[in-house]
Amino acid sequence: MDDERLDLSPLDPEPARWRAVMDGTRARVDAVLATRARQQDALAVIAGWTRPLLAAAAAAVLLVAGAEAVLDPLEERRETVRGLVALSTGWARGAPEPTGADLVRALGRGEAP
Amino acid sequence: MTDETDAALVARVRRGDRAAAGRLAERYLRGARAVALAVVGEPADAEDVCQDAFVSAIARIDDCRQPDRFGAWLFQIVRNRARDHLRAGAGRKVIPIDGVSVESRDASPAREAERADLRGRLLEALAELPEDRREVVLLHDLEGWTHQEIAERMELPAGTVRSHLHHARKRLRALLSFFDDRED
Repeated sequence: MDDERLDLSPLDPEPARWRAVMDGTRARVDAVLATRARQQDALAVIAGWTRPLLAAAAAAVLLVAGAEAVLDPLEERRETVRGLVALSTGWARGAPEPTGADLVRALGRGEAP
Repeated sequence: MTDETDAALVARVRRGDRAAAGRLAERYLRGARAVALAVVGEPADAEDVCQDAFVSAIARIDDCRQPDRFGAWLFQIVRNRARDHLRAGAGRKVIPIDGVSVESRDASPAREAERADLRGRLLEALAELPEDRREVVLLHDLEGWTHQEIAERMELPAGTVRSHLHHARKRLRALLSFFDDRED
């Protein structure tokens, strides 16, 4: 007896009122989804700009790093050449013959033995 | 219930599909009304609460961590909204029989009065039950959900649902019989 279904139909919503609730819900949901779509579009635009900007920044970093990598050895070589030129011109002007230690120093390979 | 799974519908809603949101509303809004009614005790308030809760759920659809359990997630939002509604208002309402609105313009005045009387008695009797039993009996006997569907949406064992339903019906029958005797 207690497990027979109770008739709760008097608690059913009045049909016209329930239609209004459903219609109102759909209208509000549509507005929410439209707002969400606009926000997602704005984010997509920002993301669209962010990607090329990041790529450009990455390219700039690569260029700078590459230039440093190329220029640093050149500077070192220039120093070496200047050292060798000074050594040889000094010797040509009558200075004593450069020793092996002088040459190593001019080549920048460390302290003289 | 129907063909497309909750998870598939939630995925579509996340892509902005309004039709999918409409399908979820058709699937769950009546149940959400029953859950809200179990808390607030007044049909018109329950309708406002279930609509607000559903719209809020769609606005926060990305927060639904288990889309295949959208119903359980929605019902928790409904319960929270309904409790907020009670806190904001004057507490759980039981509409006196005289205050029940007219049901249908097509029905005869005598039929309308009888229906309003029944409705008032049912709301008064339901108010005597614990909230979870109210929710179970409304989902089962008003909305026609199965034990399994209720168990999944309320996140309760099916045995507990059966027990709640048994006790709720027993108590409601006793209360309705008592109200009948009181009227006589």
